[in-house]
Amino acid sequence: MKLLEVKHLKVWEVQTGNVIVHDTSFTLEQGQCLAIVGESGSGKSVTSRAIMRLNNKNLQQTGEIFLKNEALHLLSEKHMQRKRGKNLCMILQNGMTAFDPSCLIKVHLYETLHTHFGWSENESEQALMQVMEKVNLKNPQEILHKYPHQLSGGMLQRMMIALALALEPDIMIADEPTTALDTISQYEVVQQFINIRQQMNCAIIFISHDLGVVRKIADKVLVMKDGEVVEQGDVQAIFANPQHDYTKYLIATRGAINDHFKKVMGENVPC
Amino acid sequence: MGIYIMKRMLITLPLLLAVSFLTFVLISFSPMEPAEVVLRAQEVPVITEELIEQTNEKLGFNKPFIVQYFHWLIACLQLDFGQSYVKNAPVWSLMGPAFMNTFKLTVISSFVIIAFSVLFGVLCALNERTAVDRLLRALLFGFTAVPAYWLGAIFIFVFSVKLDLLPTSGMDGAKSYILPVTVIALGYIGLYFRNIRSAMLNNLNEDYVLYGRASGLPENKITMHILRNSLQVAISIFCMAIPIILGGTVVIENVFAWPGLGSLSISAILSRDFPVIQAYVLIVAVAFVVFNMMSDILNATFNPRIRDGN
Repeated sequence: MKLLEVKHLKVWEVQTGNVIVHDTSFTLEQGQCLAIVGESGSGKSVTSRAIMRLNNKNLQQTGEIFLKNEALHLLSEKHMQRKRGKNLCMILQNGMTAFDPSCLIKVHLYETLHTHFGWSENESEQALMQVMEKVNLKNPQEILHKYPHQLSGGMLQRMMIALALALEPDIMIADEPTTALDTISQYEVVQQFINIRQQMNCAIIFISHDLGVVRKIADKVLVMKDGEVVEQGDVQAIFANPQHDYTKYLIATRGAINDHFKKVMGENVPC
Repeated sequence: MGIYIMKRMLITLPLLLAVSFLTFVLISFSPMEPAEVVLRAQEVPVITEELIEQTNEKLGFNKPFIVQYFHWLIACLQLDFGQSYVKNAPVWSLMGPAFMNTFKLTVISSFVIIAFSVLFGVLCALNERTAVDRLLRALLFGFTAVPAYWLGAIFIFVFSVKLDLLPTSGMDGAKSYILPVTVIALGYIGLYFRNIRSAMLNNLNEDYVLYGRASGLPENKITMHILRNSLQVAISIFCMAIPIILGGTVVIENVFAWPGLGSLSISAILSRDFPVIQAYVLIVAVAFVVFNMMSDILNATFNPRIRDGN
């Protein structure tokens, strides 16, 4: 069954008429992980935000978006608001700026859980304790009572994943979740996504320009360039046999960097 | 938090000392000899050398400067600002009631200014670039651009003379506050609501707003988060507004014949009543220092990053 279907999505700037995403269509099945790759400015984030109808006011979109056969593009703003968080979760690139800097971490989490499930603070705390353990956050009590600036980017990233786990959405949209992190935190966060895929039946849209990570966790890949989908298909097929020049270029660039790295290190480094 | 407040208060002490010293020094720069000023103010017909010496002896003007300062400072701490040269009454007996009158006016005006600046700021930010936003901005800017004495005169003409709704001047019951408070507030709201508006608009583009929306939080909750963060910019400005109004109501007090600090200080300056001027400058300067400290403490309560020192 198709979980998400995006048909002829087009996003443009109202004032200039500048088209940011051209006629884009793709589908996502239950439990699948779709990676959207491409250089910065290729329209990856705008595409993912268009699904949640969260782009800035100066961007407009047309096209059809169906979640479990429900037309999201026709919903009122109020109904769409209920879908966000509950059915469609987003994990942002920079954990350090994703939480209100003047509130304790728990404030956002409790508010979100209260909005969707009507849970009291106690119930929310219980639920969060469980999911925080799953994403390897120790001392959950302590973390909940910290301010964002007192935690690291990786911890905040995992906090967002933990909230997503508690919400049990149909689709988790992760917008460059590893880009702002150092290598060790990157590894941990990617590991969390792999665990989520194994444990839950949640589909993931994973936006990244890191092909190594994409190869590790994605089933399907969508390659974007200048707001257009230039190629899409199974991850194995695309890596083994890229059709479009741009995809070939991306894979070759990564290969070149790897070769150089191996040469410098003088040994066989698994990549 | 307690430690932060203690620290902040301790830093204030040397600042207050410096302020009081400056107040004292600046007045002593006056080109006239103080004893002569006293005698002239008391309208003594013939001022002789002998008389000057007597006065110096009596008021301690012949002691070393620093001794005079400490005498004055210690007296000030007990709210004893000396005798007025002109009115032959203790300064505090003149200053106290005038201060209270101006203080009442300031406090009420500040509340009005803060409430309406926040209200209009939020309203404009939420309706950015719509007719509401444009109209409010034009209107409030207009009121700020107009001089306060002119606005005051127009208001008196319309509401007191023509419509006979409010008293023309003086301090007589709650009704007499309405016009001066309105005129003061209109002058400041136009400046401060823009700060709130632009802070709100800046925060609107922050990641935490996007994440809040992506988590499905209702708009009113998100607005509260934005407001909470935007107010931090405004706290310092509002805290500084209070001493500015306290020391700057001279014009308004003249227009509305308000028996406050402004009126008192003007008459003291014209008659060279130095102890009164000194007390006025000191009170306003101390108000600045104290409210600056309060703004820091309030900011620290709202912004945990300041409290932690990074």
